[in-house]
Amino acid sequence: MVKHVLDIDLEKCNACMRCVFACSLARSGVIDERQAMITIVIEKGVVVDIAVCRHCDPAPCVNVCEFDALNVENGRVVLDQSKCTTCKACISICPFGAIRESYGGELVKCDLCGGDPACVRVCPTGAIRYMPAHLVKMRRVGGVVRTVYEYLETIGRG
Amino acid sequence: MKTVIIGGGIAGLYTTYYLVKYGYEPSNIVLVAAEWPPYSKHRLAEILREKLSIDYAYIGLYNMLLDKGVKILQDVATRLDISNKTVVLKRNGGITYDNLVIATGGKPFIPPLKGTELKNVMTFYDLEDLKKLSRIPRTARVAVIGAGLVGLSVATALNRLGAQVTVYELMDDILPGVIDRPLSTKLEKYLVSKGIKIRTRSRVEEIKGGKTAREIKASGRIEPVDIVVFATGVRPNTELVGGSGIEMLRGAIKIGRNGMTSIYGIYATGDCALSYDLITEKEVYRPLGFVAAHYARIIARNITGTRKETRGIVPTIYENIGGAHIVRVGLSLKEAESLGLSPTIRCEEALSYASCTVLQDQAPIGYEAIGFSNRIKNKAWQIYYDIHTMFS
Ligand SMILES: Cc1cc2nc3c(=O)[nH]c(=O)nc-3n(C[C@H](O)[C@H](O)[C@H](O)COP(=O)(O)OP(=O)(O)OC[C@H]3O[C@@H](n4cnc5c(N)ncnc54)[C@H](O)[C@@H]3O)c2cc1C
Ligand code: SF4
Ligand code: SF4
Repeated sequence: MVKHVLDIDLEKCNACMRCVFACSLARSGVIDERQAMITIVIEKGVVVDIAVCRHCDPAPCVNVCEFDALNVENGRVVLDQSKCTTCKACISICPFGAIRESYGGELVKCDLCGGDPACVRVCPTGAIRYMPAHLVKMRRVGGVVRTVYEYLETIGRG
Repeated sequence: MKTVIIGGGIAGLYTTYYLVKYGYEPSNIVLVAAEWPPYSKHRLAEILREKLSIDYAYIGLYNMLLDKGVKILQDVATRLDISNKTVVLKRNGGITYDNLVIATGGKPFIPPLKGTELKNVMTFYDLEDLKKLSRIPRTARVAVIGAGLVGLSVATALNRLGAQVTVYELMDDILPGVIDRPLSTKLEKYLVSKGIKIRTRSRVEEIKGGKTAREIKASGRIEPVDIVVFATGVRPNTELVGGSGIEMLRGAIKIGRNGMTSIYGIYATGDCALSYDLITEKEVYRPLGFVAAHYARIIARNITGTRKETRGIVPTIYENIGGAHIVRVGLSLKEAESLGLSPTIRCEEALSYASCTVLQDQAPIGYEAIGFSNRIKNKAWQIYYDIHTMFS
């Protein structure tokens, strides 16, 4: 199957928080923002970002994890809790601010719900869509229009 | 071929893990560990802050290694007999090795001052410290000595629990060497607004009291205190190695680019050893978890027969300091200076967010950022890859 990732359209997000709650429920059975793998970043009343994993290829977080806790499986970047020591190197390097610390230093990071993301199911505006990776829109990075993926490929590291 | 690993911290645990991953016969590995099961110090402050069980600190990986048949000896190595390739243990006698990995870690450094032996003077370094600090009275007056990552993590955790926290720092700014001005100034303001007292340029001179500490004297000023926590850095724990002939520098074990010490077949990694900085290629003492694991992997590669060397490390640090997100990748201005460079710094500010890029001859060598909302996103990744493209 062709690799699918989440596509984010910030303009459509009205901060209803449905995705955050659905994600937390799917992951932990309770509604708790700290258990969610998606974050709505609001500054001065404005949604400035939807922080969630884009399953980069090559993925900076996989590259930087010295503990072998982040790996690519079927095109998805997955976290193995049993190997993670919470050194937080991956948090510093993720271009999307998509990895966070939850209780007791446990990390939370999107695993795409095994292919049927709960956030996409509940988003009423289409701000989060599950799309083939090659169709995901170009983003503005560092003032130049290019995707993070492209950037990572140009410099040939993975 | 038998490999003996001394130390069951992150360095020893992940060397074992990578050996098994790269095909080394698990039953030929002996891990000598004074403490067991292995845990991560990286979670201690979070566990303290959230009042969680210490079970959160343990690293699940060790079960897998036991299942594979790795031999774990809960024992203490007391002597190295290098001419006979033998490690002498406290309880289990001598064990021989073909390859030896020293991963004895570090120990907290406490400056030699009057009163540090008093009952309520402690460090924040291991599970015992965590247990002690979880039991202190809720509104205790706590003096934290040292405003590094560990000091500020414990200070903000205790502040959140209701303690009256004062942080003493010898340098001009907090997080010295980790981030620079103006970011450190912003963080200081933020912490003060949370009710933490910060005393920079403050030299702690003495802890006063009878059996327990009652007062702390810093730069001539005396303040009352209930608990004193030293977070004044880590030193290599290498008594075992002294006199063995293994080359050391200021108490830390010197290693080559393949993780091997000056003696063939003996490797070292983690807080007991030096490492290399990628940008300057200099030997540095960086007692950080990901440094330990980086060399654990290299050492396991070499022991399993794939020659592998590393040019060194680009630090990648994140910490949540009481709700402020701190990111540091590559070198800070101060660290670059201490490594002999003559860097400059360029900073920018956005809403709830500020960042600086450290440059040497126009090229980026470091990035630091501070964020105050729930936003962590930053440009560290770009600088990280630029550094790798330039220096590897
Ligand atoms: C509060 C705190 C927070 C931290 N946060 C981070 C972070 O977020 N990210 C990061 O990268 N780093 C962090 N660090 C640093 C990191 O924890 C250390 O670099 C790492 O633990 C080093 O691992 P190690 O195995 O070398 O040493 P240690 O953890 O010291 O382990 C050494 C082990 O060897 C055992 N041992 C020693 N001598 C002998 C002997 N003779 N025989 C048998 N066993 C022996 C010891 O009992 C110990 O269990 C933090 C440190 C602290 C204190
Ligand atoms: S770097 Fe961030 S966005 Fe990219 S795969 Fe890793 S966690 Fe996901
Ligand atoms: S925090 Fe965990 S997953 Fe992230 S780099 Fe460190 S060990 Fe790997």
